[in-house]
Amino acid sequence: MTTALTRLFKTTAGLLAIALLTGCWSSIELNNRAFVSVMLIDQTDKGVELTLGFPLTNRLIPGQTGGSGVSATASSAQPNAYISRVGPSLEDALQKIQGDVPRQIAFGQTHSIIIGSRFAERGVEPILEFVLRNPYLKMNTNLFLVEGPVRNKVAQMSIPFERFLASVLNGYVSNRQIMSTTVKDLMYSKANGGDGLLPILGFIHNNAALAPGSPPSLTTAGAAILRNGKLVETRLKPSELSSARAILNQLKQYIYSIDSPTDGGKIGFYTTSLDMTIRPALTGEDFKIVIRCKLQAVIIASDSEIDLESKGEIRQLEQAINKIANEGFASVVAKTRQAGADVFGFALYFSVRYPREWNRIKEQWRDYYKNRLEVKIETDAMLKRSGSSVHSIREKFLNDEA
Amino acid sequence: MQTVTQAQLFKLFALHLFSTMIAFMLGIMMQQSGYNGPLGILSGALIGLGMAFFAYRLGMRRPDRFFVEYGKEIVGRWLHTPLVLFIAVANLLIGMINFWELQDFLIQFYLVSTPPWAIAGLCGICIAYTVRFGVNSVFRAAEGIFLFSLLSFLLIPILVSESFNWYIGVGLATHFSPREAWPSAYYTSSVFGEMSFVLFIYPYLMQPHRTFRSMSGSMIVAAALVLLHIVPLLLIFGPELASNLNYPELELLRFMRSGSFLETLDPALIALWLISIFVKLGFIVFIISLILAHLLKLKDTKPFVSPVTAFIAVGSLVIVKSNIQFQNLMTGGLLTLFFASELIPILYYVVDSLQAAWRKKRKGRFN
Repeated sequence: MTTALTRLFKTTAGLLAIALLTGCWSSIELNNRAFVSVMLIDQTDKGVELTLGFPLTNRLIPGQTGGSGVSATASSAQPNAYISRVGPSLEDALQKIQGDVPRQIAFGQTHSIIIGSRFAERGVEPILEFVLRNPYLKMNTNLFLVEGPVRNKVAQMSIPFERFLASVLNGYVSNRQIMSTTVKDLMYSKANGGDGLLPILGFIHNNAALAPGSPPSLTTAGAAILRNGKLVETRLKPSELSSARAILNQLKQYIYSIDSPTDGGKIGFYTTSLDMTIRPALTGEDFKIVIRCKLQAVIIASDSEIDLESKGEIRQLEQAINKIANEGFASVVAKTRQAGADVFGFALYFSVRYPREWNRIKEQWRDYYKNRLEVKIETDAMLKRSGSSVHSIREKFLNDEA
Repeated sequence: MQTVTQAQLFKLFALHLFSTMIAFMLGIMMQQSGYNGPLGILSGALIGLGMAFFAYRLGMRRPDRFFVEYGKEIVGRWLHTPLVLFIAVANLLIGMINFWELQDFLIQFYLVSTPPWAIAGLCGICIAYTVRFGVNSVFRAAEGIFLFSLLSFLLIPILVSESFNWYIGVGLATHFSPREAWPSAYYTSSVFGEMSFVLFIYPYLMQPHRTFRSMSGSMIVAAALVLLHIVPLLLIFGPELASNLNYPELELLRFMRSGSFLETLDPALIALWLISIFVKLGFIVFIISLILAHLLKLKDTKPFVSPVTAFIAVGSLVIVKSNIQFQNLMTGGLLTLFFASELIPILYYVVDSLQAAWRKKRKGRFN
């Protein structure tokens, strides 16, 4: 091939390549996209109500605090939009919302989905199916529950610390202050698929800086139990939820107080590390699950005369902690067993370790979990430090005035 | 003539083996073998290397002649030409299938409204351009991209390691079942057996006696890398969920939670994968052009590169119309076809050994 011909070939091929730039067909301008930051799904009398929360980039002003639906005059400057439509199914509602929004709806930044309790009672499979099949929604999207109608409560609450609701929820999850249940957690195995704990988002007036009559702010408030994808009656209180999160190895730092075994005064603790190991066991024909908790704690306050330098008394304290922790775990496991929902995923451990025996009982796993499973819980607490001081203030510095 | 170093061969084969396996085939392995996927992959890799061993031995007997030319001395012209054409057709099919998988993957996730012919066309131009410049450009491309590709594939399991549920690893031992592992082993060995096509390029290799060492090295690196991807799949998703995913590797990528910018890193990694797949396709196109050129007694492979690439590109657009048809195709007899094409060098090896033994006996009789 002559040099001229080679050059011609190269130029043509190069030009063709540029002309056929494959990105240009499917490119969507960034300005033409509406990123969904949070999805709210509820059930109304007329059908499924889907609400998509969009951060409004056209209203984002540097220095603006944003995020609060405090007063009517400020609402037009809010950097959020919650577009809501009702349809017979999730996809129909989505299509209607797309008809309302002048940009292409993009799901790539959605990290949280908030489900209304009425929808959850009918079953959350449509959401799981939607997330799983959508190529842009990720499986580690967090799920939350709100009791009652979702839309207005969420859209109009006040958010003191962040600009967007999504940042608040992401903050809760990344700081491990809330139970983190993702879409993937509900789909490990057919035997307990759809069993899980959904953290409940509550609304309380706890911000004294807001004028009376302002909408409430967000708080974390216990959990609800899902069984086979449907919500059941039982709810977990926040204290029970902490035990549940501990079992799922999500609880790392926790502050609590117990009564001293010596004189009943309150002693406050702060766990610095908490490791749970869950192991299946098989004795004969019966399955047993062994839950072992190793925790290390630091004393942060003491209102008791207990001598924190004596090994024996420390040992007593540790045993008191063990007892309380065991009771907490046992009660939360019992509650889930009563509801017949294997929310901790024990099914996975048995299917991994004892496949043959598991195959025999996996069809009736929930029933087995409710009635026949043996649960053994052990806690091993270790008190590492007593904080920066040795004796309690009351003992050392205050006089007992009769 | 001898312009390809053993290091380049090692890198090309390593890329060739792990690029499409990790990108496209992990889903099917999970569906068919579950916990025994890793076992199947290991066995398949060893079987594939075993098949390639015979090609190596056959090539070593005549390291400075092209197989397509001396093959007819072994089995006769009337058998050699159809067999070699069979290998060419099998390679064409491998190329078409990989092309199709590539454009299906890209269109589904990243380039939603792009027509398939644009992707096929553009990729075809890239590959044709590379291969036209001869064997050196293919191997140099492999050498260049190998390190980056390897690092990017290694990065993924490390970044998702915080989501592992290590206890599931126990299932690898408790669910041990060679019968369950067999479909994966079959699949993997048809991929790893593609190393037996080294037979065609022997005259280009420097130090041909070290070819088997390079091939073993490629097998080890590729198998290790595939295992480093399939085991995290099991540890994060569990076998039931992983078998339900069409592109488990992509879901794995999306599971990274280490900082918000890494979560959307997948397009950058996809770009590196693409280049590795181009290298593989370049090698396949080169083999086909070599076969056709030598069958028609032409010295140069250049004239055939563009038509072959065009054929593969257009063929990939029409070979299947949908993903469902594609699954049907793959679970049918196509794998056996690839297997058969990789076993052909063994046939030649056996016949050649018999002939050599027979010749020695005849010589001995005259003494």
